[in-house]
Amino acid sequence: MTVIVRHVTEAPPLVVRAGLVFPGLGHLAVGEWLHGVGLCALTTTFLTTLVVGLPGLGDSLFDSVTGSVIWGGFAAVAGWVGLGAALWFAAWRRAFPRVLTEDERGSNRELFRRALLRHRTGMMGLYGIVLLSALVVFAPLLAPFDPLQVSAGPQLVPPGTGPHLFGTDEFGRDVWSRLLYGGRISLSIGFVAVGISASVGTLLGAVAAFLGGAVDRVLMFLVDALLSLPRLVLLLTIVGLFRTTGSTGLFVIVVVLGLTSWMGISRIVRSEVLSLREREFVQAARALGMSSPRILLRHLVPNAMGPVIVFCSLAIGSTMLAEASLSFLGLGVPPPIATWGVMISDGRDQLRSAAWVSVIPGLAIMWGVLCFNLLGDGLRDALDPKLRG
Amino acid sequence: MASVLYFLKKLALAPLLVWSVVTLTFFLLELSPGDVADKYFNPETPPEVRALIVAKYHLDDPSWVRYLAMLRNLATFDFGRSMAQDRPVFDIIWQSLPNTVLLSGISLLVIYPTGIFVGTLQALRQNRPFDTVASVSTLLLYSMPEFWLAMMLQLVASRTGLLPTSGMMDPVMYEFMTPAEQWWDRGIHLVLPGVAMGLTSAGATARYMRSSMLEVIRQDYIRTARAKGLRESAVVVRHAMRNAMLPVITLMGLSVPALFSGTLIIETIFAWPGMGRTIVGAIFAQDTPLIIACFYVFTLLVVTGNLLADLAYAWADPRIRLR
Repeated sequence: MTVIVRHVTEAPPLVVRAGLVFPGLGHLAVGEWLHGVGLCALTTTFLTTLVVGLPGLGDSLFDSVTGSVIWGGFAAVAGWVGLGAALWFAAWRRAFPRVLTEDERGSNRELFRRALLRHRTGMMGLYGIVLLSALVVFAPLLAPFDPLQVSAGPQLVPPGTGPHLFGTDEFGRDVWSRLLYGGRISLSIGFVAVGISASVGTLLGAVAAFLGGAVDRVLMFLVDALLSLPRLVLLLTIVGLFRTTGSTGLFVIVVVLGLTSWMGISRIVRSEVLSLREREFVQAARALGMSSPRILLRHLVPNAMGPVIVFCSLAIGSTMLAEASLSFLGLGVPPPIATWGVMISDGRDQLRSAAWVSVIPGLAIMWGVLCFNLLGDGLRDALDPKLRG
Repeated sequence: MASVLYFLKKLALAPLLVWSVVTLTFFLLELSPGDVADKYFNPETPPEVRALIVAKYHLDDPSWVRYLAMLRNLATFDFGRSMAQDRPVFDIIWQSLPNTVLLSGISLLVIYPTGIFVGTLQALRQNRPFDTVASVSTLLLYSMPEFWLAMMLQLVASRTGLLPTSGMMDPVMYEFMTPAEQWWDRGIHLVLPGVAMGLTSAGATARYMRSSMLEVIRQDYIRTARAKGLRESAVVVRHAMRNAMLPVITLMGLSVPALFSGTLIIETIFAWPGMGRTIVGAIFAQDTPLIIACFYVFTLLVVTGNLLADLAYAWADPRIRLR
């Protein structure tokens, strides 16, 4: 007797199609609160941006005085279209689920995806990050004022007065606009610096594990030495010494942040590669006559990436904190660019009379770092096969 | 026996580690733009004085000669003279180091007992309201910039007027106080910086302790301890906590550098005259001898901290001693 196994996908109830009108509603209708609330928040942001940004769209794309193109505006519109596409795609997928093949159902990737989607705090972190990124990418469409414009309003107006959602600072600059534009710098510093440290760390860790011997010992000793220095001291010294008068530049700070945080990643990659090297699939690859560099790049490094991704998510948070500390000590991003860290320290002089100038960017950093920490924990749990249901 | 060997090996590696950090610092300073001699001077220094100092400290020697001289000087704790502050580097460090040690000591008292206590309690009441509230607050603490937390504490303290918000003592009244009042004054000046510095790491410690404790209390030997009729407090303290503390002890050793990073921020905010503020000032003034000396002292302290953590680990985990 042959048993034909068919996976019958249960058709979702019709109310799920409400999501096609307003992504998120469909999830809410069937009681998927986590994704429902997350998607609804994103959809609201999407629609609000449309309402707020449309009247001034021309000004966000072209400078009316010089007629030149504003690339930030185009990036914002592209990001906005992308977010919309992603939202409606998610709603569509929920309403008309794809039937998975037998191979896909048991695949590692599918198990990981499902474990992550079920992880409550991890998904909260992910939605938080997407929301934050959307807000800062949409900055040209959402910000009511130029972030650098002095006297956009009266000085030190408390939040909620007139057009100033979060008040103004000591120079009358609009805090909400500065927050949106500053977030672009803060978040990109986090992403780029961690990108640098992940590349360097993975490379050195893999090389150390693969070559072994003296190279391994020297590299790991270097890691120990760098780890025994307080990170902030190292950062401050390098940025302080290499700042050529006037133009520290974003570039120096990002590179230095990246080059002072690769040690943890290289340790992780090294130990992963060392343990993977003894596994059977590597022997199989060797038996097939693959060259060593090819085994390293095609089999060992990709398999070691899981813990690295978790580490990166946590590292973006700590890099944002390090950048803020650097700004606070006066060696951060040079003016007039404002990151959240710069905004907090700018408000320090009026802390008693106008606390919001410092409190609000601090909350923004906390939100960002918190979301990256939550996502990192979620990724770790989802990657751990022991915890997958 | 093996653990003694392990410890001795670590002890032997420690000077090597200090050497490599000092070497790294030296080459970093060498690589930075600008003439070597310039880094030792104020721009106002008259040329003839400059020539004398260059001759005295051999600033025109090639790099490797100065490197060897530096190693010799550091080994004998002869740090030279700070050009920016115009006094011996040794004196500067001698004055600021005790203040930093005091502040770090206080914040360590905040960090570990609080973190371990809260984390243990959370694990024992897993998923109950206390656990949820503590989890959320430790996560928030762990996610906020240290200097922002310090500023917020300062804001609250200055609004309520409960605690002094900067310095080590009352700037005016201190000299007119009785000794008892002076102690009290110093004590309350410590509260805010100590808490600000400790709170973030306390959050991290609590998170660590909670997850470690959750793993331990599911073990068979805990069930055995309960089954043989041991009091619950004895089970928790002697059997569970002692084992759950092991990873936290490792963390302690590793977190010494982070503690020093914290002093940079906290000492700047609270105008605390310690090593953190000294090194920030030295970097801004490009005061090379002082920078090298600060790195040297920091590294010595970090290496000592790591060794102490290893000893503590061996003390807490008898399995290591037997092996």
